[in-house]
Amino acid sequence: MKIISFNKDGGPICVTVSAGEAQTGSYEFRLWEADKNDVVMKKSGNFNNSDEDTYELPTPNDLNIGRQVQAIVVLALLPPSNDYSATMSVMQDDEELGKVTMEGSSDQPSVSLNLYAELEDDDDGKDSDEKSAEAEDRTVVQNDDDDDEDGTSANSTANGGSSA
Amino acid sequence: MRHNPLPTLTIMAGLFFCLGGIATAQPGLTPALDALLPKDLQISDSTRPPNLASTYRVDFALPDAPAFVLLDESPSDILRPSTVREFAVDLSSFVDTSTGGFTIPQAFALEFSPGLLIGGHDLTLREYQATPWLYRMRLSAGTKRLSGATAPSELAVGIRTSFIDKSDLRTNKTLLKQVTDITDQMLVVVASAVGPGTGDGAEVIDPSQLSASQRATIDSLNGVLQKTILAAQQKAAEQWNAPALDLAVAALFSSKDSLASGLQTADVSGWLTYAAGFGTWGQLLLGGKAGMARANGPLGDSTTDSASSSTFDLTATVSSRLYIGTNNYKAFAELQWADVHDTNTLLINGGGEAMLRSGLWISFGGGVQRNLDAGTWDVISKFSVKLGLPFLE
Repeated sequence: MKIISFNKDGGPICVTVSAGEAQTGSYEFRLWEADKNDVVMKKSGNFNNSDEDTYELPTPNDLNIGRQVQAIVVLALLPPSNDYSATMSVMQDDEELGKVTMEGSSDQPSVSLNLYAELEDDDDGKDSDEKSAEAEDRTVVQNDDDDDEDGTSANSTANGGSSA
Repeated sequence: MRHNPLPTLTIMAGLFFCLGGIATAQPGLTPALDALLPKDLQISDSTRPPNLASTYRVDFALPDAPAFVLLDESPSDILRPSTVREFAVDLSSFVDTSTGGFTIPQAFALEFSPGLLIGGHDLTLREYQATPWLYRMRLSAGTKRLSGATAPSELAVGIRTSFIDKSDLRTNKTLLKQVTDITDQMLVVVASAVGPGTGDGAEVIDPSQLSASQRATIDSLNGVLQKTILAAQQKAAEQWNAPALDLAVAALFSSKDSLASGLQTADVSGWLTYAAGFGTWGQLLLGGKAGMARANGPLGDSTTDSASSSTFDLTATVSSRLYIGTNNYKAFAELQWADVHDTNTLLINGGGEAMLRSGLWISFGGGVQRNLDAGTWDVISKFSVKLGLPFLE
């Protein structure tokens, strides 16, 4: 699980969902209660309209300890590019605390992505080595064109990390 | 103006990948806007939708790259607007102008579009739409070497962009609205099947997470999405005479030999061309070219001596060209006035172009050029064969 740390004494935590490669699509942002299948917050949007795709999490911030932020993203792949990129970034006090990115390419008209991370208080007793390891953590997901049931191919990298 | 009075065979090999196009649609997916209605969501064909990028190929006529125009010896200076292509190669002069025999092409130019490489993964749709001309930019470079081991060489570089490009899907608001409506529907299905994440933090949602009926719905919506995009592409491709506005700049350098010794600037020019359509049958190009050219031309120019000049002449050209026909078959007439090296000329030119098969174009033309200062006439002609990727496949 990707961990993103925040300062419970800082400003409100904000989450932004975005799509790269100039692709369009729709998304649903969710905030899951810690250790429960309860959705605390749910927002829908798309990358075509002019609405902001940034959402402020409930305050006080310590309510969000252990909660999971999640973005379900469906992207339409407009030619000539078959590439896609979607990012969910967590911000606090104009500083990016961490982000989860999924990149790849597909020969299908659309691709559905699941981006998520768990929120933790940065004053949780973890030593600096653990935090550095989290900050540099990178997950590579790679699928071949032919082995997915829906034909979706991905050469994808999820970048995430944590910082105080 | 560098002018070759002999008939010239120019072969332009255009190797490019798709963006819009009029090539054959995928069997079973004949574009029909009626089919985009929700009642047609069900798709009987269970085969997966094909790659959209490979479904359509551009089959518009292939204009020259700016760098190639400076290298070319054609008296026509208008830069024809074009839709964005990812890659194109121009080869010229398969005919030796002195002997009339076949020869290795002396001029070579390529044009490519960095396109979405600018901004890459982080480029959002809104950022793209704010400055689409930046992502429609095409860079070109070319070289030309005259016969002989120590013959002078010419090198040209150019840059072009399109301020109006009707084939750009990312600025097609109608299409984007349709596409987003479809992804909204897909999202409802997918989101209902996905719970909190338990993996590494980012994943492509596997269809196995969906029920059979949900997978069927997603497949249907993918089919509708593909039809929608293909219909938009085809509509753009059918508008061969859609309005266009291109701006380009290119520079020509010449050297005494192939080692680029004594490299010097020979010509720096800019083009602005606007294209307006008339119904489905006509297109009028209005263009201008202005720049500075070394007074005695590039080194090795057959019309000048090879001595270098330190002075430059202002050059100016005003052109108009009218195309009449369809995308595949057109006739054109051209009128151009030019002031180059203090010589005023008037060009009256005409001809036609035809697509023999997908990716294979021929164009031909002829006319007269009047030297308004000397009162002389020159006869000019040109025949071009253009090969595109669909032909080569």
